[in-house]
Amino acid sequence: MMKAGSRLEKVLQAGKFALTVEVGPPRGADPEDVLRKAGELVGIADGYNVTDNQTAVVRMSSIAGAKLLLDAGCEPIMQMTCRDRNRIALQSDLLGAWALGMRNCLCISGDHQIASASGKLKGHPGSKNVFDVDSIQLISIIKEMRDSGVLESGDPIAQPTPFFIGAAWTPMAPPEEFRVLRLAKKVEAGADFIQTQAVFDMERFANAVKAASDMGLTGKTAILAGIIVPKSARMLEYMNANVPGVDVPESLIKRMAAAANQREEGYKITVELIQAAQEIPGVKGVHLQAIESEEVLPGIIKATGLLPRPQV
Amino acid sequence: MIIAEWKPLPELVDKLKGYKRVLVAGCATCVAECAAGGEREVETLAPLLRMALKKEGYDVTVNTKTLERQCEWEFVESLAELVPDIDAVVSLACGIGVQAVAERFPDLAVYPGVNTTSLAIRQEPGLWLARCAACGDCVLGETFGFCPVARCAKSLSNGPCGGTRKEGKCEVNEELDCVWHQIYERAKARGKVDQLLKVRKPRNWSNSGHGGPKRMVREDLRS
Amino acid sequence: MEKADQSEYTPRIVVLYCHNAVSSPAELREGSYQSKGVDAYFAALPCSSKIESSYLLKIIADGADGVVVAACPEGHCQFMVGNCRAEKRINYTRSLLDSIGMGAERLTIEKEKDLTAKDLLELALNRLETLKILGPNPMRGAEK
Repeated sequence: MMKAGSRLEKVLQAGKFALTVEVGPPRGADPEDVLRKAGELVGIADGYNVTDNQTAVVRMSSIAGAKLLLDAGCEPIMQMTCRDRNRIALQSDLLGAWALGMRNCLCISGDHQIASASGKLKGHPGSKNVFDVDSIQLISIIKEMRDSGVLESGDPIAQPTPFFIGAAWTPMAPPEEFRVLRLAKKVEAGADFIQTQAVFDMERFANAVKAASDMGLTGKTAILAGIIVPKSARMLEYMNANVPGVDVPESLIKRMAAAANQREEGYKITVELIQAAQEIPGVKGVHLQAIESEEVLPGIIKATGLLPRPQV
Repeated sequence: MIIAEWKPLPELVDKLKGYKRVLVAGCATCVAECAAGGEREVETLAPLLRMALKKEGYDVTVNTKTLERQCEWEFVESLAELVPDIDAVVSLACGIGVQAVAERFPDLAVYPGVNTTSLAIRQEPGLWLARCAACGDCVLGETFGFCPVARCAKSLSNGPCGGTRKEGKCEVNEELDCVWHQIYERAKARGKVDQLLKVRKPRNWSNSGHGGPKRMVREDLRS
Repeated sequence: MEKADQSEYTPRIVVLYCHNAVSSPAELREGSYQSKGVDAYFAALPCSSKIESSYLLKIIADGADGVVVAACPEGHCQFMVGNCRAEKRINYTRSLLDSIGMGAERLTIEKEKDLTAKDLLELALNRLETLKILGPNPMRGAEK
């Protein structure tokens, strides 16, 4: 029985290996910037994540970016963080998002606003954050809006809002042993699908998925392995050192560094990671991210043999 | 204790230009404990203000007085005899003390000399760590003695987020421990990890400042 | 930073010395010492750690152009860590002086032992060049 009827849900229900990609909205108001990406990416994925002020940097809102993608033929997965909006605004935005046609929502805590001041950007590190509810509470809220037609307060909404609910999982961040237990909480709260933090060590990831499977979680939620397209050895080193939960094997960094064309090597590595993910029992798909270079995704996906996407 | 830290001196000096007689008022309780506003700090700030203002061309008399607590009316009263001879007060007390002085002496210019920042513990000499957020709905009995509101940068009820760094540090400030990591380790040590598996519902923030300025009453104690 | 006042002014320097850092504390006369373009004033401390930021700042606010603290060397403090504490406080006080544009270099610490009156005067004279560049203390005339 369908919960929301989104394409992602249908692909997973049909037992096909799902493929989602990430689209970062522009730091501006021009819809063309979204539509251009949509044009490049239409048809290559089952769901298109639209980030919500990622790293707390002001970008076109996720709901607007998602609507533009939807109208361009790319079914969006609207991301929602808990950093900037309280439960009133979150629920209000969910009602609006559903009215506009959104059917997938990924619930995450969100980067702290201090992260917005980095590189050349001044960002808004002095802003007040919200964190009225956390990501797991947001999952519960959406579940109740969908299955019982009520808000967090218990007040009814005029119609239930069927969403396919997503959550994130970072299996390799400390304390590692707790991460699968927290995943269980997300599933209990109502997470229908999971997109993980970027995986570079598929063997370690497979162990984590096994632990989830032993707890019965892979039967209740669809885990999609997160994969970031590496551009260079430096990028891998940076992520390994600075991004919590991202562990890059030394061998991979060495391989990148030794490559004649690091970009090309990066595409090869990505394809290998996707193929490795397909071999892990309990992994139902992959979530691909090519940060600020979404244009490389069609080529990579084509090389994996996962195109065309299945009819559902 | 409430902790505070000196305002940047240029900001403070800027406010004092033009006054001829300034009083630096300290408080011997919280701000003394955090080395921001006790007698020692008052006596350190006073000559600095004298010099800074003189350099800008202002001759200012700077006197000092440290009260036991600036949040008690009976102690604030002791400033009354000094008020006729001063034009402005720099209070090194927390925001409560500054306002008590301002309320008792409404015609006096009162300036804060510190920024009050948190409720903290002195972990060791020279190191203060935030411990309480005055959230009005204490869950310390459920988190094994670690506050997820004050000590988690995102105040998560069902932490940790995916941002815990290696060595269990917080993504937002790597000098801080991820408190949810600490909560988990403590639960594990007690054999009570199952207590962390329950999905905690959204908090009620209304008993804190979020619900409006707090007004607490005990009728049995009112005169 | 003060504009260079290379014209003649006689820097007034207060030397606070730990009485364990000098060779004959009982014989060393505290008080004024005048010599070769410096107006020095020596005062004894039972330990260099007796100093507080507030005292050092008051000495400067009251008109001293410079302050030198003579402490015992590493590992020689009779109270184990007094000289370390003194150094930390002096560094803090220097940063405070800088923050109001008075010049951190008005305040320094020297860690020596078996100092004589002549040595202390030498420490004061060593500051002359820097203090001439910093210029006279704008608080001159403010002394009590």
